[in-house]
Amino acid sequence: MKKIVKPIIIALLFSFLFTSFAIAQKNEPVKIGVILPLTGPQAPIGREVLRGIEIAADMVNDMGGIWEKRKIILVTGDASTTEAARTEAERLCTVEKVKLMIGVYSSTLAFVVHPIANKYKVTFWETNAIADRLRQLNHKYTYFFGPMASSWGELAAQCVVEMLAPKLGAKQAKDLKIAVVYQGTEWGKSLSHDGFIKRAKELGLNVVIDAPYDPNMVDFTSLILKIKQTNPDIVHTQNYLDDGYRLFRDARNNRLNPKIWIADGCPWAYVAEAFEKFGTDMNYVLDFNQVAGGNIWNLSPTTQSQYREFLERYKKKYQQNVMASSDVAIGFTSAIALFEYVLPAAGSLDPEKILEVADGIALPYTATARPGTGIKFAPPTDKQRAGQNIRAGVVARQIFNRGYYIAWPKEIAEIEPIFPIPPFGQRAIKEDEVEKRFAIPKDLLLR
Amino acid sequence: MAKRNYFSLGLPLFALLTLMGILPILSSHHFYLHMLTLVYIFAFFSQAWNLISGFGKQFSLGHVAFFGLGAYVTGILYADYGISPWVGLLLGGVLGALLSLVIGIATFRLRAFFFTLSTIACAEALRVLITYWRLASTGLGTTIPSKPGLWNLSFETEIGYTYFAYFLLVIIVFVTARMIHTRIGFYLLATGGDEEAAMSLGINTFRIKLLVFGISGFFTAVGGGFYCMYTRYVEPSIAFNIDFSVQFAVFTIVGGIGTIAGPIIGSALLVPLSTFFRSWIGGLFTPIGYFTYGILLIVIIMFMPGGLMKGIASLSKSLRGRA
Amino acid sequence: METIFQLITTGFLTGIVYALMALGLSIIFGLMGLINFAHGDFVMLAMYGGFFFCHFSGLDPYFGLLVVVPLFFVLGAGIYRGLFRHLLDAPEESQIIATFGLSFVLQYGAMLFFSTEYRSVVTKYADQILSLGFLTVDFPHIFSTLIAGILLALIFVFLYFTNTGRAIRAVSEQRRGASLIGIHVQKIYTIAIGLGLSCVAFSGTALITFESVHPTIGTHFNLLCWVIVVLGGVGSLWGTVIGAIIIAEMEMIIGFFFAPVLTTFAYFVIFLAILMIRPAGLFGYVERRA
Repeated sequence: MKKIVKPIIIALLFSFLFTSFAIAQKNEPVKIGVILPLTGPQAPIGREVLRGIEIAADMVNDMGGIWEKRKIILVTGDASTTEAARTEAERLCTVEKVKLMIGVYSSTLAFVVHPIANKYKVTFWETNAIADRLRQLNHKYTYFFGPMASSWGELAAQCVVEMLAPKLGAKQAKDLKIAVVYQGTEWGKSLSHDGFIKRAKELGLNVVIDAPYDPNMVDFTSLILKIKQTNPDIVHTQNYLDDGYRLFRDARNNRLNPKIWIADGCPWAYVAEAFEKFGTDMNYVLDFNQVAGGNIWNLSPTTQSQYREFLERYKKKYQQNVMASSDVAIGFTSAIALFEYVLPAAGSLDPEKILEVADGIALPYTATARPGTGIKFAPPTDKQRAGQNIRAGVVARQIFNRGYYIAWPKEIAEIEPIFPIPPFGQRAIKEDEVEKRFAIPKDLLLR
Repeated sequence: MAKRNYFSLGLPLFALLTLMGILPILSSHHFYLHMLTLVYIFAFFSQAWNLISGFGKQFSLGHVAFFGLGAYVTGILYADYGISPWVGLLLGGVLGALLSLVIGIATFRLRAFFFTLSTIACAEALRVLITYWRLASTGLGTTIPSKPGLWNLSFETEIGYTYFAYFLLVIIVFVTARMIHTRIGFYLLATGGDEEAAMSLGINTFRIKLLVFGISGFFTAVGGGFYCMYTRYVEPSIAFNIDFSVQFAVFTIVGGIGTIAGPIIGSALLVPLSTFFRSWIGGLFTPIGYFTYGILLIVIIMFMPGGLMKGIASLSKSLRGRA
Repeated sequence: METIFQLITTGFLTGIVYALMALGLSIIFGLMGLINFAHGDFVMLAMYGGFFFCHFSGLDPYFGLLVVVPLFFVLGAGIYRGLFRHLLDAPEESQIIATFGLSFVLQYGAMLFFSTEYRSVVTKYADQILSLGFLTVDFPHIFSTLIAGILLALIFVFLYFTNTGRAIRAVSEQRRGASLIGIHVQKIYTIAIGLGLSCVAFSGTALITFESVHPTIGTHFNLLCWVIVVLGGVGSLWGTVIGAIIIAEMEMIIGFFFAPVLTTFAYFVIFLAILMIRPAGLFGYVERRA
């Protein structure tokens, strides 16, 4: 029996010692925590967001840092699974003792991580999780830089009524048949179902099919055929990456040709791979998104030069160009807004000071490199949207030859969009045809 | 033979449990307590799994089905209807036991691996079903409000959760020990060892397997309910994630499948270890954790089927020169 | 009505692809009685094989069969010598646990070496569609069906008309008896595993022409293949093919008439139903202890 006691004690001591070692870490100045999925299925996106945040920190540090010349140091946590997210958030807060965290990108992870930040009174700067109920958690020190699902969905429905219906020559928007397909996850549901469909029905629009699907589904033919049966004018899809490819491919194979194809919040619609797979069939797709970057012709000079510097740095560091709306730009724009507009005025990482500053901010859309997005936060007492940036916007862009052109809202439109769209296989368009539709001088557009 | 107390724990195990009972008081650092809670609750889950898969040799790879069931029952009842999680835990446990009966009745008269496949398929099926149900209702994810109070199974301080996990672990260890040293245990081990021989002895192996699987399902669901209250958020992709099934199995096997201390050893070792790999080495090396699990599983099954427990025991035996 | 025909046609084509995938498992499990929980991950590896061949040579993945198939045959032999041989006589739990561990090694090994990004191949005919009246069939599926047909024919010829093939069938029915009449059992098993993995190579190559690969897709394939083999019947290759088609059609029908979300749930129900009504599956024969 004694032989067995030893290994048991050793095993326990090992774990005990290990965690003690973990605790004995030293603190460093202006440590900011960044928690994102860095490994696992969402890693490609999480890593890109991190890169954006890193570049923002680099830019600030190269200019001397914040406050009295203090450099920003980012401490990362890997939220590869929800369990990991939990543990990493705990670790960042209690072992690394950060007072401010940026992250976490996905709504599911946010539900797990935000309460932990709240528990330790750590300011949380959310880059883009959209679920409405996150805002209704009413956490005092959590800020949502990007839009929330319901306003996003509402804006999309508004776009249908304002721009799309007239373009199709419909006497009333009610005459249009809309098919809504979305990923059966928290993200998919909050945006497409709780946001878009709800608002669409309020506006009297005709939603002919409400189709969530399992992201693991391999063949979308049955779904496509089901949609085809309803003969929709508009197909509204919300997919991630692989499921988006499959859906689009099966739509093409089964000749689902609606008059308008909306890709709402779809990461697959703005990565290079989509163009490799579908070529010119990507043209005419209307990409609806919380965009970062892309065209900056209408921003303030400071914001423009800041964004240009970001593009240069990214290119230098990673030998690649930033895509028209990539997650790295999402990371950058949310981080730089924090480093530039909030922290300096707050003077420290004290959550109360940050709250004070955040309460008072009111900036127009020219201040951020996210089209249509200004900065103004709802107070923590707002039950529906505590901490929400109520000036966060979404824009609709039509895709042409790998370029993304803002078509809506009208105030910042760059192009007069073309609807109805040609069927699959007939979507090639010459560059000068596209240029004829520009709403602003060609040389103003950033490529 | 050492003196045996009523529950036949044996001194080393008793000492181990006592030590684990003291650990939470040694420090109030949050991360330390969080890790302890994880170790204890995973030891609990692994032990529940060990009942049917270790002692009973009916290998389940879908135990997360019970976990998720318990998590959802507890979570929904509390968040949407305000019913105390204690009720939820119990109800979840009962439903878990019922589910295990369904699977057991369908598969226990067949080859063991049909059972394994069914558990996998069951976990997936539940995940999809609950997703479908929640998509059609208020929302996919459910947040559990935090109103501290024992009746709400919510604790002001972290240590409350740690001790609750410990409490669950103690219960399952006692249940296991009690079972193993009584007639049920005898029948179970006989069934696991050689089912045909056991049947020829007149043991109703079908019923024994059902009983033990039911107990396993019950406790796993209860633990799932606790986990839900601890994480305060439940969503189908979390609650029915195959990762949990895998972890219960790996922790037990590494520690020593079919032993009482095995799951505890496995958890105590692997929970901090995987955190270490992820947090401190991190990045591209995170997959190394699971990769190593895989190698460990193969190596252990081939050369050291008793896991670390028996492996170290026999190693020290041979070191002392005994046969 | 047209829609129903389209559903059935696409279901059939998808079913053929599933059959390709499950064939390897059917051979290894049906003929050798070896439970392999890493089967789906071998398919994943085969897909990577097809991907890398295409990536480095610029040629269509089907040409890669010349490289990948022998590679997988050798891989099969190696895995047999290294691991499976020891598992053949081990209790079932050991087979399950060991191959489960193998599954991890393959999945996370792939993650370490290939990264977690989705990789895919764009073939020249990826967007070509064949129209037969109101039916549409895409070229990748046409090719995969052709390849599957050829492979099935080859396997049939091999198993029924060659000496080695007959030896394999003999060993699968009666191992001891077969060795008594002089059949070198170890050699036969090595070949059988090689054959099984060659089938996997075929299926991976076909799959990569229209699917993306990712280190963890093996988990889903695994469950699918097992459900197919059980439905079709252990030990019957035709059962596997027919079972695969049935499963694919069922997915189509459920997805169309009910909800896409529910197809996975249907696997489980079917599975339990088979086990309760007819565990031998559609075409399998009654279990015999080796």
